Amino acid sequence: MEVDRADGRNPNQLRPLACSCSILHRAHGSASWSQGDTKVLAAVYGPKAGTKKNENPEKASIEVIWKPRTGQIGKPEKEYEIILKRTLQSICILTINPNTTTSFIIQVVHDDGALLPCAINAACAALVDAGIPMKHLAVAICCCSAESGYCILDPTKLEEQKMKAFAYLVFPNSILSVLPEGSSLVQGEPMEHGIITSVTHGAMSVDDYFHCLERGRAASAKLSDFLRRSLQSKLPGDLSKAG
Amino acid sequence: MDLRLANMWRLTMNEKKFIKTALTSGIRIDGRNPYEYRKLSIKFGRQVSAFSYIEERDTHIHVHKWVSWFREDGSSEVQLGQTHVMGFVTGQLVQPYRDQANEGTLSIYTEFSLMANPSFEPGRLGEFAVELGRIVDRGLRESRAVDTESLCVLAGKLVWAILIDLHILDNGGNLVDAANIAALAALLTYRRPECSLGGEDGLEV
Repeated sequence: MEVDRADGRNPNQLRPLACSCSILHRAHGSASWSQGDTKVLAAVYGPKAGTKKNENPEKASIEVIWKPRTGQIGKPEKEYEIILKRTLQSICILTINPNTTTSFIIQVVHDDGALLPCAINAACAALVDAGIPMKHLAVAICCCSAESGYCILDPTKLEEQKMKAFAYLVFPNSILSVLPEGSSLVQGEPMEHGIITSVTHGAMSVDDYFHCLERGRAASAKLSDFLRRSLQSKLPGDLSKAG
Repeated sequence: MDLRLANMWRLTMNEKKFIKTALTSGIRIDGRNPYEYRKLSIKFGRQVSAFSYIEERDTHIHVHKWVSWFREDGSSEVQLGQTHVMGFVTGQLVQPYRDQANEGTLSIYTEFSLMANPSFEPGRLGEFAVELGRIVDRGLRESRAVDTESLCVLAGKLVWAILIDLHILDNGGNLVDAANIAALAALLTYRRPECSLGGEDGLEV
């Protein structure tokens, strides 16, 4: 079904992506990620000694601070912090540095829809910039579904408000490996078919949700490519000569 | 949380001595003269891109073009060497103070976050952050950089309250200057929304 989007994109088209790393000097890792007009800046500090009182000292803990563009920190920001923390906990290897805290600071520069996915992507890029070991990267995408059942990807703020329901989905990034096919399978399915986080707002039917999942997964391959390309250009010279 | 203090970055005695002796002979550690400034770059507003659809009638060519322009929305990004500060300005209609019934208000909110300085604890306003806010506030208010009387919509009932948010992204020294420039630059790009009064009460547009 053809849909007219305000900026002329077709339903599966993402907004232009831009990613830049190492923009801050004091932070151990930093990245800025923008999808169209939505721009988020992420900074990583870590690992630092000590954990908070109610955290498990046998593992590394993650702390997320979400700073909105204007105004004080309120409940929605706290919610974003918790979601981001859980997502990052599942991609970082927590057993390497026990009893340490890694801090993430997310600064919203501008919000034009799909804010949380943009922040998750920025946080991943900042993690790579800081050199913190991870199991795999995560790519996040936002899908909306409308009353008639079609779903569109990467909505702007206006589109988000008009839609019946939207979902933020985070997938592991696609693997580019030299090992044979069988080694990255988890229970018989390739790892990209997994899902890390899903946050839904509004009411959508089960079929709509699965439809969104498929579309989101397909688009996450494009996002993974973009992430890989932009991070690879930051790597020094020829890696085959290293070590 | 107290264990975090172990991560505060401290200068060693040797470094302190080196900086002091270099200064007495007029040399600074990055090679500048005592009165020389670092490179300052100010970015106003926000780069906005939109997909615009242009159709050529004769040849039936549909051209999709990315058009980008400058949206003035009261934001600025200032870089002074390694120091990075962002300023955002927003306005709200509020009731004025009783003793200043026909003047708007200007307030500055600055949070010296963990992003700029790893030793800062979130949620608590440090002394330096408060002082920085006060310096910028006094500078703008006492120099009358903002004409508060023009912020009045309905005397005694509705005035504009301008809030300036300064986000310190990177602390590379001299935050006072960078914050002042960011606040002023953000104010320069801010356009107050139009509002008109109608009927018996004030109706905003």
